[in-house]
Amino acid sequence: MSKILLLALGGRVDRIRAELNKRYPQAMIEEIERGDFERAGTLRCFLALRAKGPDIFAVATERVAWQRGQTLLMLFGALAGAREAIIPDAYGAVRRERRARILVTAPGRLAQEAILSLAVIVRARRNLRRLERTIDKGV
Amino acid sequence: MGSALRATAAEPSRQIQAASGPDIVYLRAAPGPGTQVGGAASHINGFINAALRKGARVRLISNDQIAGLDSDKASLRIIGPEPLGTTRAVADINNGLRFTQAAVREIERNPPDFIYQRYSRFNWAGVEASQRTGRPLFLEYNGSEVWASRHWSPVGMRRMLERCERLNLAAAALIFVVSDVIRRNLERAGIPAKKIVVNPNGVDTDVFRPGIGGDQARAALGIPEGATLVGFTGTFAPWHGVLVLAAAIAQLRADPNLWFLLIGGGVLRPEVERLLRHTGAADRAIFTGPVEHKYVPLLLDACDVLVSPHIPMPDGSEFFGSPTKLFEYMAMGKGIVASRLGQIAEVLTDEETALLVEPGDVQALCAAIRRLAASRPLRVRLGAAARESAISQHTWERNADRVFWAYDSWNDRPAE
Repeated sequence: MSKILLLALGGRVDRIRAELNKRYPQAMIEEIERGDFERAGTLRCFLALRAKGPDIFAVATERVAWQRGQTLLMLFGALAGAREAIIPDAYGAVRRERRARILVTAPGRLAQEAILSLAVIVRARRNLRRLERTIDKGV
Repeated sequence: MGSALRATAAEPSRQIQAASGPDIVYLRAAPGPGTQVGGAASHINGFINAALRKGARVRLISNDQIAGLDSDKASLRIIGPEPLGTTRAVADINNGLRFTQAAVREIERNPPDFIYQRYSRFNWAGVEASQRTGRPLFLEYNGSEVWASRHWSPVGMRRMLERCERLNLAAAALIFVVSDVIRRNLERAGIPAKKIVVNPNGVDTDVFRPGIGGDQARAALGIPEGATLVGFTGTFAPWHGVLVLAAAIAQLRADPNLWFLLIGGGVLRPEVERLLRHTGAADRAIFTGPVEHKYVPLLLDACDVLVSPHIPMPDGSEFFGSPTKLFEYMAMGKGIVASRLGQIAEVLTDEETALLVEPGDVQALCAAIRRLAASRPLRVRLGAAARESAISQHTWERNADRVFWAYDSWNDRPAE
């Protein structure tokens, strides 16, 4: 019997659990509550996750399109030993990747995200400063 | 009733003929998906539907679907998010920039009479659009995002968050706030009083009304004949007082006639469930989880007593909310037990429209629930008065009236 570790970040967890049961009828699902995850901190949580030896790491979210940090979450599962990481949402959308692909592509994707994030901050600061000046002048 | 509500009650009720109302662009750019539950969706739908009924043209630009919105009547343009960002703040800022760019383009093509934005963190779409088109920005400000980040849910990049909030408040022609407490906070922060309009939340009294099938819902929930069902709807978050309610349910477990219906979800739900299991009070407590707003009236109609056990803010700040559920409870015509706190105590009158108790006082909450459970005539009397008050003063039409009235006043202002 394979084991699914389900991290409940949001969404209708009951519905997502039912979907997982349908897709993986032989699997046992163990749930981690968001509060427990956040309280434990990243390292302790990772060690606990690794000790559980999941076959599949699932992250339940309200909406995949809104879930930031997807690469990091999947990498978290892959490094904990899961052969597959999936992010299902409350509306039936799902992102799924195999361990090998996650491990190969994650460093590049994380670096790209870091650069884009920096660019976002620079652009936001510039826009904000421009608008502040306009409003200060009473334009 | 508080001064702000007295003042708004005296405002003229504006009747706008079809197609004679203002052309409004409504901006919704909350940093999260538009769920089908919670007060935000009720607020957005309540205002938009009422504005449409009063003849306004409403074009909604949102970063997600709005549950319950009638898209035949209001046009909806969605500018979807992008899950990019190394931190929560960066993700919000990125989506704010995306939203602003596309929304401003849309507004420039066809400028409305005014831009109405539901204020959200790291977003200045309304400011930018107002600057580009010369049309006024009306900001719906339901509370400080800086305060929320400090006390509820840290998002990071506090300095930019503060600048963003100041910019929105400075650029808005008018600021609509849900309570007198928020008005006072803004005035203390240096916002001119003439820019601020207190506009409490409301309710659709045609949707929330008694006798809409509560008996069948009770049967479906398995509530025994003759039992008293006490209901709560809302977010299981600290200031909603759910832990106080859980303590009260634990104390009331000896009364076999009392059942509890808890509608909603949130971070404290596991703790509430644990507490009830621990004290042996879980048998007669039903948790529905988050429920789509359209089903809430039916569930509330199944109840005999409705509770609103809000508690003060954890940092000692004044309670600034305008709980949507309060007005929905009133419209259902049920017996209400509520905390004597902020706007709740301004809207409800003890022994006339509800029983008010001190916030956080479990004994008082238990006593008030017992009292209402024991007396159907009392429930009927308080419920009828509460519904009458909801119909006359707290509908979404009144909410929209205040926006239109403020728009007229803004148009008629003397030239500066």
